[in-house]
Amino acid sequence: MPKTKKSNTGYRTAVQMFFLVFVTLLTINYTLEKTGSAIPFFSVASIHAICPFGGVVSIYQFITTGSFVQKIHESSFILMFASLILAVGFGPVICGWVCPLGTFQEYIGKLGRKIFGSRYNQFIPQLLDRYLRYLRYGVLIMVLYITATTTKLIFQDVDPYYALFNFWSEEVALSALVVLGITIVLSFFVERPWCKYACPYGAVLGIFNLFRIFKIRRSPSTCINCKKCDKSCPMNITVSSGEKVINHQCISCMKCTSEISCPVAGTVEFSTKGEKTA
Amino acid sequence: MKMKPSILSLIIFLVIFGTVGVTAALDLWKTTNTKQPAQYQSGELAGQNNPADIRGSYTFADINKAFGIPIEDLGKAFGVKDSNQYAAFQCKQLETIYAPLAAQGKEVGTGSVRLFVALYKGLPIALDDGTYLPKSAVEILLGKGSLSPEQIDFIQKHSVETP
Ligand code: SF4
Repeated sequence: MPKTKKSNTGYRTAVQMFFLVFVTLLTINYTLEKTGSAIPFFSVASIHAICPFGGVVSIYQFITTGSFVQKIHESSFILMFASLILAVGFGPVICGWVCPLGTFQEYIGKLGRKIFGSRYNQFIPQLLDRYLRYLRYGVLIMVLYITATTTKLIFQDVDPYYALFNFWSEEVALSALVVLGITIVLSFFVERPWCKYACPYGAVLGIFNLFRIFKIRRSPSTCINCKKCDKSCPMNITVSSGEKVINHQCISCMKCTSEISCPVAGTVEFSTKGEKTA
Repeated sequence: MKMKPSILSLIIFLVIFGTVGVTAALDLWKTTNTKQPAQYQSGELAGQNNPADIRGSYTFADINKAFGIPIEDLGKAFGVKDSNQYAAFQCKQLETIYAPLAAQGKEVGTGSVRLFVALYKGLPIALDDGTYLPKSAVEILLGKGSLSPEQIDFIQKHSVETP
């Protein structure tokens, strides 16, 4: 059995860390700028200005009035397009590689895994979990509807991402801090609870999993059924049950692939259709 | 074609920062508000600034520039105590001044500035029941004498004292 060298795990961590530090510095700088002591040569932008979901919630207003929802700027629209380009090609890489809230939950999850061992990320009964995964589409529809009718960035009041990077600011609503607190607590038991059950932007990007160009593909002929791919998946997707993963929850983290978890080279690959696995 | 984590990392950086770079070069990348409200798209007001698009971050100086309303009128209307602060006063600061009224469901904030500007300029605006104006603003508007009976009735019923 050809073994793979597991030297590829560090790339995603590096990208995640880069964006976590970058967004943290950006938001700190935004606060410092108000007191006239911003970090020299570093960008100043609010967290809303660099959130691609701001572009999504502004679409209706932009089409009808040519303006953006309160606190949203051209940059959110531009980042929305960049993340859509990535999603068409590779699925929700923004969730799995870039989003600092996803990274934050993942690192709390590492503590949860230490505490609960193999029970971690397995607490919610499968049937209930399956239905709960569609909750985020309800959240998405609600957020889009309320934003379109009020023209306000209403989601800010429950957004744990905003709360995490602005918890020191008076502008953070108590409700957002509560949602952040719940997300932190749940992260000890479930991997990426916000992403799985509530994130409206994850819901948008998840749709691209149904037709993205690069997919997770498995070769049944070389698969040894060790189920390592299933166990490694943070989103509890049963990778070993088919020849390719078409699941709205996949975050393209590549943990299941032969590059990382699968012990057989060329058996689980992130590839285009024409590519033969093993 | 197989994708490796190393290549995907590169693609992510290239797409995100490439898009930012290209749009910045084309002067499309903006992370702050231009303080230029949207304009009416159609009808006889087409091309005029629309007060409904005034944001909380707009200062009274921005509003003066966009709508030609004297800064003095804005400062007095909304009960800003220090006249040196009129120009730099941001609409969202009203929420702090009038916070005690918000608990009674009477909101004086950016919506009130939108209402004041629209009525001052004789521009159309939806009268929202939750939006209130300080008495000083009502007096300025009534003094202009250009309101409809319905608007007069609304602002008289939706006026509050400045705390
Ligand atoms: S482990 Fe595989 S199937 Fe699971 S989210 Fe990551 S890429 Fe998708």
